[in-house]
Amino acid sequence: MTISNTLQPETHIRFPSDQVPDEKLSSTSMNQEPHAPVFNPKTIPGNPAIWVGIFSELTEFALFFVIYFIARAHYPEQFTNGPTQLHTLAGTINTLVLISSSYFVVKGIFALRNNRPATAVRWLWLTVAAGMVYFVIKYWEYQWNLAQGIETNSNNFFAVYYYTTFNHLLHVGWGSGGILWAIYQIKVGNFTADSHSGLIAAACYWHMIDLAWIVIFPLHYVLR
Amino acid sequence: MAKRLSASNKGNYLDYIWLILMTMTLASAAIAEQAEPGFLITLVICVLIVIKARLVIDYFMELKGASPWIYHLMNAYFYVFPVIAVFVWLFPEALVKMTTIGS
Repeated sequence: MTISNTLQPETHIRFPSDQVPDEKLSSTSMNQEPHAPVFNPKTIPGNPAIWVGIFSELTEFALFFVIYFIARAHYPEQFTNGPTQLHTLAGTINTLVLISSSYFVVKGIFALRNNRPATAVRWLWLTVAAGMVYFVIKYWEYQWNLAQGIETNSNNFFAVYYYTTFNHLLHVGWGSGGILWAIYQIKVGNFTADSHSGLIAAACYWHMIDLAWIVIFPLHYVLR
Repeated sequence: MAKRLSASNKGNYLDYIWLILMTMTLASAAIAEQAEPGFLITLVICVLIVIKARLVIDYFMELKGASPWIYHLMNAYFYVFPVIAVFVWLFPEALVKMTTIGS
């Protein structure tokens, strides 16, 4: 049996060069029901792209958490003593700052929804300010650690702590950039009470940063 | 006539959510400073992670009305890691066995 015999007329491969009249398309290939979208665009806060980004970032943090748990199981003593050597107050203040920043963002969204763009901008500036406070405290905390002799290669706990918290610090930087962009868009009138999906997207990213810290803080500063 | 905004539209409930989150953070810090390590403390800390994450996801991110894929995936993430933390606290040797290459 030759290969040509196995090919039935229905299985003929159609190349783009095959000119098919529109009527033919509409009566054959277009007859099929369109696939239902996995995500309903109307129920995606912000836009689909930001959610690809958010889940990518959360996957990255998930890898850090998995490494934390494996290292903790293998070196329990280091992970029991490690948190006692960190500056708990600095970690706590940064947690309060990040939670407040998430609150400022959502208050900004509510202000814009209620057609108060100037108030919205003020809330968003508070968010950026909180991000800067977080940076300053984290810098001070790293300096304090170094003064105590706590470095990235001190032991496995501190290696995981530095990699995770520095990675998180970078995300606060990206998030602050997003909020600054949203402030600009409100000021030039591109984001209004009725149209501000870009602000929602930037806000969701910011909340993701806060959520990641909600896990990082207890794992590194609280659990013994 | 000026449009009167309801408390819900103004987001006044967010103030209470923020206060609850701040209180729970301070509770975590107090545990870190004073409590002796133990299973109960680990459990309390993990429950606090779940509650805090749910409050942020439901009220700050407003994902309750979002696509169920996004909402449930986000929620699942913040249930899975606290559960793993409890599991690792209870059975660290099991994880060591699973992640050790060779004998």
